[in-house]
Amino acid sequence: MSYPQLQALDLSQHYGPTPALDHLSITIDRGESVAIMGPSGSGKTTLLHALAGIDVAQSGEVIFHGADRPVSIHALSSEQRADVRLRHFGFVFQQGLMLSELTVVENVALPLMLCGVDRASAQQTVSAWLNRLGLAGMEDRRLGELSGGQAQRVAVARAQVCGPDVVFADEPTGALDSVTSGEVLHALLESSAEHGTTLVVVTHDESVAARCGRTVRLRDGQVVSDTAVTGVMAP
Amino acid sequence: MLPLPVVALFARKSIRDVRSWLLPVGAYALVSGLLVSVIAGVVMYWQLEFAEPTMGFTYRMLSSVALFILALPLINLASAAARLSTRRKDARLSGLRLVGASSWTLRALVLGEAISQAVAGVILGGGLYALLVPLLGQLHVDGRQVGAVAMVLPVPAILLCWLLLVLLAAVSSALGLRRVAISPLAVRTRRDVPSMHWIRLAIAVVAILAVVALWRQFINGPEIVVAMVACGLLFGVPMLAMSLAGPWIVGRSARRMQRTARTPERLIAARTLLADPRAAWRQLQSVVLLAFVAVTVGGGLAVMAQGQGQPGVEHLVTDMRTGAILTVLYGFFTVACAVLIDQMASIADRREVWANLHLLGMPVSSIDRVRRLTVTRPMFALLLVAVGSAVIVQAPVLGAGVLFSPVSVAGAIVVATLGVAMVPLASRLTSRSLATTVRAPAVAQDL
Ligand SMILES: Nc1ncnc2c1ncn2[C@@H]1O[C@H](COP(=O)(O)OP(=O)(O)OP(=O)(O)O)[C@@H](O)[C@H]1O
Ligand SMILES: [Mg+2]
Repeated sequence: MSYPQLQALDLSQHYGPTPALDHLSITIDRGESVAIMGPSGSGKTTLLHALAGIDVAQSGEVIFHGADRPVSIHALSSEQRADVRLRHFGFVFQQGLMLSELTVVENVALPLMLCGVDRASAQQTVSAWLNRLGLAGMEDRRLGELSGGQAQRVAVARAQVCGPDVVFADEPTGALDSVTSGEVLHALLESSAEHGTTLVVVTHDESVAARCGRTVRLRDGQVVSDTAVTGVMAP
Repeated sequence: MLPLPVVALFARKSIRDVRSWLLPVGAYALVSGLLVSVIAGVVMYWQLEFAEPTMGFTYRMLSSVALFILALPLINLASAAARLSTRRKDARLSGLRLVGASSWTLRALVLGEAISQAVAGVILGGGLYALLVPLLGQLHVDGRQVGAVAMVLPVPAILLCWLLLVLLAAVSSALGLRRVAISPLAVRTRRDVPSMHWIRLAIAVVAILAVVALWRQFINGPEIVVAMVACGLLFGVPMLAMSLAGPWIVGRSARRMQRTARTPERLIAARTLLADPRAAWRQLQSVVLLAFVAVTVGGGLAVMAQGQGQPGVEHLVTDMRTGAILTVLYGFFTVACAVLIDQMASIADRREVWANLHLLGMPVSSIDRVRRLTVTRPMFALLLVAVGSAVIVQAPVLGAGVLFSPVSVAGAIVVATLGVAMVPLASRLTSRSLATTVRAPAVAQDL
């Protein structure tokens, strides 16, 4: 039996007269990699935030299916949604979401420690992740001492370190040149494929979308096309 | 002249955003209320007629010492208020810049806003002072109730205090504006502005001159010299030593906390403190001073309790005890207000950091713990050193005090504990504001 990982049903969100989400429904399966594309202001970020339980859309419903029973995101309190984000989701945003005071290791270990893993074993897990993403030796650096590509790979490590069900990325390579962005994307796709993590990427970049299994295009808060790319191999 | 449409636009924005006024105006109201009532209290002691004429000198000197002790917390509170009204102007100014306002206009508008906030707050503070007058009038000195009338300061003196506070607001706003770089397209905050030590020095000199001028209004005598020397020896020298050691102590305790942190809250708090130990010290230096005073004076009073009942001075010890308790609690209350204001400001300033942590799934209660740890942890480290050194320095007096009058020493400990407890309490009071800020939607917050 296979439930979809995430289901958005009839989501609507208005800021002023124009809708950011307009009766939008979408189903995302376990282990899928989905690129969400569309012109600026078409509702991509709003949709991502609704799916991830960062915000709750004004109407409609989002159902998340983790390992156990399904959860209706809209029925949860703000603190319960934070807990779902912590335990089941990972995030890679354009501006890293890093604390500038913390070192790289500490930043990546943060979600693990929040889940109750003790500091020493959290840091061990983190070191392994940093090694895998080509960041060995950067453990004690600060955010300001990393290049843009390195910082985003740290963000990938942090999103993956708790073994989430879904990783949400909002223009993860938006601020990078094409070579570096290729490296970051590789890190993101490879780590997700390896662990069977579902991946939802908002992007303007066709080459990013080309490497995902499915592309959903939005306009004015509605899905205008939804195409599965057959034969996409894990990189 | 200022272009009217721009002024109107700025005023509309400024007034529509009531919340941005609430905090600075409230802060100035607190400063003004506390400052004027402290000065009124001191002047009351200076002008009292005593049954035993020679006692006047003692009372005048002691109350001057209290004024010196309260100066630091009051200055802390005033500068916390001043910092508030110059915070985060960039976003709002950028909008006006695009409308086409000149950089001179922008600066004038910000200065004008800061001054209006200060004037409004300072006058509101007059109301607070009026509320305190009958309460303080209940005080007993030399065996008699002083009465509310004795606590009423002449109007020119009140106006002088207000003027000083408004001037302070204007100067610190002007200084804050130096940090704002205005280019044709945008307004941003510069980081590389040299700090102006001479301005601080100038403010200090003006403040001292103002106090001396005020003094001359009410008394002509050697009391000021005696009080200054006494303060310098008793508190000035230890405080100077502490102010050299303070940031280092904060840094040391934060380093330890960082190494041994088991929870993410403690880790983040430690890193935040390590990034700027001076900021924590600035916020807490008055707590250290007051704790030091409480221990020192508490011991002294315990010893003096022995001499109680001698003819002519039967009221002195009681009055000194009342005065000391009042000074210490007033001081702690002032610091607590400054901490409250600083915390509210830092919640707004670090909004993005807290919101990002919450986005990653950190519960608001944990974020709140981080924030409160950055106050309580350095406070306890500093108190340990300050009280420890006070106990060592004053060991003979304290020892005698414990022997002669254990009750007095216990009383001093209770008062100091009550006072210290106000600080974490103040930081706890801002928790609700953190929760609202963190949960607010991400966009449309500035302006
Ligand atoms: N907090 C908000 N307040 C007001 N309007 C908002 C808010 N968030 C989004 N909007 C509006 O909702 C619409 C969709 O915004 P959204 O951020 O989802 O677009 P997007 O597709 O992510 O655009 P971009 O590619 O530029 O990031 C836009 O018209 C935007 O102006
Ligand atoms: Mg977006």
